[in-house]
Amino acid sequence: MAVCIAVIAKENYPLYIRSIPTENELKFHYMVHTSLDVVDEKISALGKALVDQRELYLGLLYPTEDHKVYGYVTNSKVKFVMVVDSSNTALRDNEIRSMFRKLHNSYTDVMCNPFYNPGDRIHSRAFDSTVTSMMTQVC
Amino acid sequence: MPPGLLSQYSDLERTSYEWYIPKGILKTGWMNKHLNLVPALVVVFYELDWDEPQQSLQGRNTKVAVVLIQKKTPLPPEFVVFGIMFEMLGDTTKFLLFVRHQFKIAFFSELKQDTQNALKNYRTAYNLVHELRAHETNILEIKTMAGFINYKICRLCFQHNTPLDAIAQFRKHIDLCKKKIGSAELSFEHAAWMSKQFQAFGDLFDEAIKLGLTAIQTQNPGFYYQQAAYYAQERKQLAKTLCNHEKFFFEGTDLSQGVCTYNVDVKDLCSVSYLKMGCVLYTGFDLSDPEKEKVGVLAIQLKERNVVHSEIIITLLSNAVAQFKKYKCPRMKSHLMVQMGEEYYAKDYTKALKLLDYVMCDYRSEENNGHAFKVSSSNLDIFVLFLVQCKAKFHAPSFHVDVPVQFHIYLKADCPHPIRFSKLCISFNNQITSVDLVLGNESGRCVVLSWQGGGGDAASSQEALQASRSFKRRPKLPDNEVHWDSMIIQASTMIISRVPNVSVHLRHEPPALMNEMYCLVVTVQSHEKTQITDVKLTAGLKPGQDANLTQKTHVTLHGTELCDESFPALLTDIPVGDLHPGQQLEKTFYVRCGTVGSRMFLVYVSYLISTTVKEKEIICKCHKDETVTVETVFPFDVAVKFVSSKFEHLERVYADIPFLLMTDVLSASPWALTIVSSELQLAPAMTPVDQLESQVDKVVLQTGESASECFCLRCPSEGNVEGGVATGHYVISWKRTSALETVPVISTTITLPHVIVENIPLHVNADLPSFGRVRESLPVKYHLQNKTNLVQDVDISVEPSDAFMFSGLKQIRLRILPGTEQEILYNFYPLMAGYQQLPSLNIDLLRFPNFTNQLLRRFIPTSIFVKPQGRLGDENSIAAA
Repeated sequence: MAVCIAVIAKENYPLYIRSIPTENELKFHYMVHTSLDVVDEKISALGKALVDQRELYLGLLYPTEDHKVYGYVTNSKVKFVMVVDSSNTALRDNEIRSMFRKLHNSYTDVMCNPFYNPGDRIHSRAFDSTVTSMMTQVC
Repeated sequence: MPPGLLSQYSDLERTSYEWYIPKGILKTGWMNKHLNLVPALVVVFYELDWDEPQQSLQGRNTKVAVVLIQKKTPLPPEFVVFGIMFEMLGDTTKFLLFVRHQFKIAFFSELKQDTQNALKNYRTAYNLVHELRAHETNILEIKTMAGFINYKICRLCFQHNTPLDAIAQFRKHIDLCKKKIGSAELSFEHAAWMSKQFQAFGDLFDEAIKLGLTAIQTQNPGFYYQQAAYYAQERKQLAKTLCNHEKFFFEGTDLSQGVCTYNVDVKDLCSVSYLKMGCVLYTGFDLSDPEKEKVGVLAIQLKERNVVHSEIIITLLSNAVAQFKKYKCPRMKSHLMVQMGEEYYAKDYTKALKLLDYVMCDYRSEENNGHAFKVSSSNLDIFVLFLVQCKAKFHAPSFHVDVPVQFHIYLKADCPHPIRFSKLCISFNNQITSVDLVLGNESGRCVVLSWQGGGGDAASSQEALQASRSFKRRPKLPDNEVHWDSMIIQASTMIISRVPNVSVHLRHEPPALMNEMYCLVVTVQSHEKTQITDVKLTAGLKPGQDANLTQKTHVTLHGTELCDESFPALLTDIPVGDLHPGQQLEKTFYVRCGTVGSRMFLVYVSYLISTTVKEKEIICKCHKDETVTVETVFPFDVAVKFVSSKFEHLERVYADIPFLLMTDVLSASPWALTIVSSELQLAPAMTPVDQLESQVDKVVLQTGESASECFCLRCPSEGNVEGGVATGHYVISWKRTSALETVPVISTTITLPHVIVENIPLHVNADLPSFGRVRESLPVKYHLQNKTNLVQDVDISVEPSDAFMFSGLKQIRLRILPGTEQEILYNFYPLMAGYQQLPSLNIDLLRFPNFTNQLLRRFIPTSIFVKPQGRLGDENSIAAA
């Protein structure tokens, strides 16, 4: 179960960010924002690798006391950041990976919508529900 | 050595642990005792008075041994006693002693610099500490001990260059101790302790890095300092809520007795005797007395009140910032700086503002279309002015130089009381001016500041900007109120030059013809109310186009001579004097374009004018530009072809045999062209057969018209030249028909195509009249020239034709010597009028089977016009015609 899910544009501004309502929203904003440091660094390191060998999943970005932050970057350099509770040991790397894949699929659907301008904030019910399912359901 | 010191620190008092109940894990003074008090070495001096051996054994290889004999029992080897007789002790006591001895072994190993063993023993000790049953009275002791052992382990791990072990140990330590809060009333102590743990680890990590360890972005000391800062913040929060007593009620009680510093500094542990300080509180007062315990708790809380938390937090945060800066985490750095700002915000606004201002730039740079993390500016703005909010905006994104710049400042008072402003100062970061104003009124006033920007041309020189200000007191009307949040800050404005009031008109006749002196007439008319001075023109190719164009475009003011490479593509700042209102001036430019294609030409007029703005005279610089796109085209197309003397198209010419060169000049210009003259410049290989005078002098060509010339040439035999023989050049001198006399004539040189020259073995030409007449004899003489170096046998035959009777040799074989010529004469007698086929001459060369009659037909006529037999009277009329 994720506590915060964010989609960040290539230019590092947020396209979508949602966190669980029980905790301070600003904290998650900061957490996602600071995680971009690591994402940037990882992307620049990946840039040297061949394109087709590139792994979209970036893995654990950095651990904090209470949370774990995972990253994922699409081929178009749109970043997904997911924050999960440190205490949640049910979520292994594989589960996170599949959650990201699901998120990516949903994001692709959003992009396919002809009324969506790339670079705008995402206002999509389908995407919302995908995110909601990830934030509630224990994968 | 003071007497009795040894016995004072002797451990030998007790040889058995029987009936021994330890009061804690370790005595407070133990480490100090072993580090500083117990002697590490005892040196005993005895005086030996004899000097015998030196005397008698001199020169001999004898060794001297001194044997000391002691009759008492020797000092026992350390620690052999450990590990025995524990069984008989109670569980708790046993574990306490386990920890104590394990720790002591490790400590001594470390003193002996046996770090491997020390580490091993410390690890065991650490595990043992956590096996101790924790309860409220000993939890601090356990934590302190665990923290200390953890510190030792981490340091040794870093020393052994196994940083991952150190990190793992630290994580384990934190996970184990995180929940051991202890007394809820003193929970800030736990936070302080946690903070200290993280800080200490951060310091260790940093120290290891300084000694050569490499850290990475996701694992660097910054994270630990950050976490330490978080716990320090938590401590602050907890202290705020827990130590919030109005007044301590036991002022009279002497608290200093039982309370010692709670700021545990792990590093100094060795020298400070507070290992059991958890118990200090409880031993200083009676443990069983709840009243006294309460007093103790209060005492600690009182102590906590005096701690300056902000300083601790800021120090930790700045440590973290320094680390994150080093490990390329700009956003993390910004985040922490915001927190530092928030911390400063409680006491030092200047510093807070400085920090937040700095960070704000970083955050703003990432904003896009208003999408941003909530961390950015909007949150930070609130800090900038804490009681009065301020927003400022320029009235428009740009201002002309001669209009006053309007700058609106909105102030909003957030506090319930009226505020007295002592000073409102506006400063601009480009040092134009600053405006001070003093307000002494209630809040909610909108002040409109306006000042004029005189001559501050954004693009050109910076001139002094005089500021004037005017106050307008706005009545507090609802429609004057602005919605605060919807206000957008416009923090910069562009000062643009004054709107010019002149007209620039261009007169020219496009398109330009290649290489001509293209005439551009610029007319500038002033519509200003006053005289304009220092009018300057800049004209030519607009900069920023293809670099090749710059080299192939030349501008001059003088149309009487042709431009060359030395002329510039853009003539700048040509002074043309002053203009009175309504006056106009005309200037002619000539542009020479060396290549075809479209070009953008720029005409730029600048001038100075003095205007009055708010009773102040300022000199404004105005400029107006006009661009025009001009296409450059070829003035004409030249076609060249080679034809035979019969005007038949020739693929190739034959050596020594005259041929015709025909040129055809087709005008492509929409304007009439005058061909002044033309000239054929022959290559050395070519020789003219007749005069090469121009036949098209002074010819005027309208669009689509063409002028042709024809030259008869001959090319002597020159072997077989690959790619043909150069013919020469054709030079056309021309100008526009409309151009002035003074405009120079342009010469366009066309390189004529190469031509393939072929040798033929036999050349035949015919001498015959231009026409025949029915039943009148028509003499035809054929000349056969042998062009080879061989004697040639020639078979000649003439086929009869219906239109002619003829006399002469019908079939003959000739032999022609090299370079000589044979003549054959025929008398044709036309029988029919009209265009008649001549009896065809067939020639076979025995040596050159390729020489066909087809080839022959190129040289000799195949038909002739035969006039009907005229009446006698007609003879004259024809001659007259």
